[in-house]
Amino acid sequence: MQNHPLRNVRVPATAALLLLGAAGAAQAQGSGTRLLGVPVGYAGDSAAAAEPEAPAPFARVPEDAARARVAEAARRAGGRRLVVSLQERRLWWMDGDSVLHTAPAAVGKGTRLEHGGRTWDFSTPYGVRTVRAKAENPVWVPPEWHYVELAQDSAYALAHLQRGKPARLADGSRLEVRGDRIVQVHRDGRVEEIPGDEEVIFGRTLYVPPLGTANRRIEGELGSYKLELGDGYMLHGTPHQDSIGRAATHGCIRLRDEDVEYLYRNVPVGARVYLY
Amino acid sequence: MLNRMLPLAVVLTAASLAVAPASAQTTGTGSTATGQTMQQDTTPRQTTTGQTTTQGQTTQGHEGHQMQNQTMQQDTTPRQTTTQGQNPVPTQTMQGQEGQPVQQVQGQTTTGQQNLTSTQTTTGTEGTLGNQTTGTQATTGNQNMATQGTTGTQMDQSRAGMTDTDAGRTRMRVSKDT
Repeated sequence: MQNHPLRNVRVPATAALLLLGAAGAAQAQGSGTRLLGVPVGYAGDSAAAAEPEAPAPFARVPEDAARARVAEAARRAGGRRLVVSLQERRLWWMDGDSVLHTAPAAVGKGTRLEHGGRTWDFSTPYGVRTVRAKAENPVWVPPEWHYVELAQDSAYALAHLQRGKPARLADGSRLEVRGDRIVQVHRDGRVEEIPGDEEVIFGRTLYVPPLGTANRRIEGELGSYKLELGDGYMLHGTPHQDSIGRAATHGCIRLRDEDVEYLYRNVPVGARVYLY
Repeated sequence: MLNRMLPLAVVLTAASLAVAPASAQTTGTGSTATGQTMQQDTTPRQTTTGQTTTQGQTTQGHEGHQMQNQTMQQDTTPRQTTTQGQNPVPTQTMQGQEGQPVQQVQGQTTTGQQNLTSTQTTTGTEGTLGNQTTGTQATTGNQNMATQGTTGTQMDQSRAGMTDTDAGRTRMRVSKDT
């Protein structure tokens, strides 16, 4: 697919005029040919030409007043900053009025999950955040809602495994936590290790591994890079590339691997992130 | 005999042609040639019957009269064997085959009843209350490993990357998009 994400962004003249006025438009268009921190191997304008022109930031103002205020604050803010339109499911890395990079994003799916008196809201919250940390090859620690959601979707009962408290299975074997692994100890004494990247499901029960076990440290699900925004929200890559551009996440912002790599290399810790 | 019959036939024919009323012809025929006619009828009947049998044999065995009997025997035997013998066998076999699956189905019916549980479970998925129902069903399922496997297989069909083990364990990769 000729879909190189590290494309050079040209802000449409009409949108730029709306944003910046005549002088600003000239600046924006001029900066459209400029790239900062371009990774080696970037295809340059040829990739940009192969894609339809990306929408400009702030072209669509949210109807919700609170979100609109965030959008306005993002528009007025100077310097380098990340701007994310949850409505358009797109991210812009801006410097002043210039768009340095833009990319489609997957955002929160907006559903709610309830279990045991707890409620999770799978929306990406709007507001202003800060890049708190960056990491390469991030590990995903499945939170509680992951198991609750899976159990509900697949009609499993939930059971929490605890260290030192084996769970007896229907065939007489038992599940135990040994070190950082979950093992099934059969009646004949044979010990079978549950792979760390697999759910622990026996019969109609989904067992929640305790934190610290291999089954709660999943590699690859966050792609190759992540930028933490606090409260568990992240910008990260994904193996589920087809979800990009959709409302599909549990609140995080998913990006194509190339895009999140660009951000990882160019967006510093401490950068402002405006989500509207 | 033909020599004697022929003139009589000619006379009868001539008389038939000469006499106009049909009733008179009928009466004349019956009264005059009944005995001879009966003999002729008897003979052709025997002949016809025999010929009919022969024709039947001939039709089935055009190639030779001597082979007709053998053909008949062969025909008869296969017919009886094939039609009557084999048919019951396939029929019985079919019934047997059908019976076995039926028995299996009946055997699975037990599982099927548990499938009903999974159906309810599916319904339960749609609602928050389903969790509670799910928990109950899952507990029941745990008591039967066979059910776990069967139900787990059905679950696999709706989920990529899932396989079922014979120990009742469902294998599923951990994914954020589950």
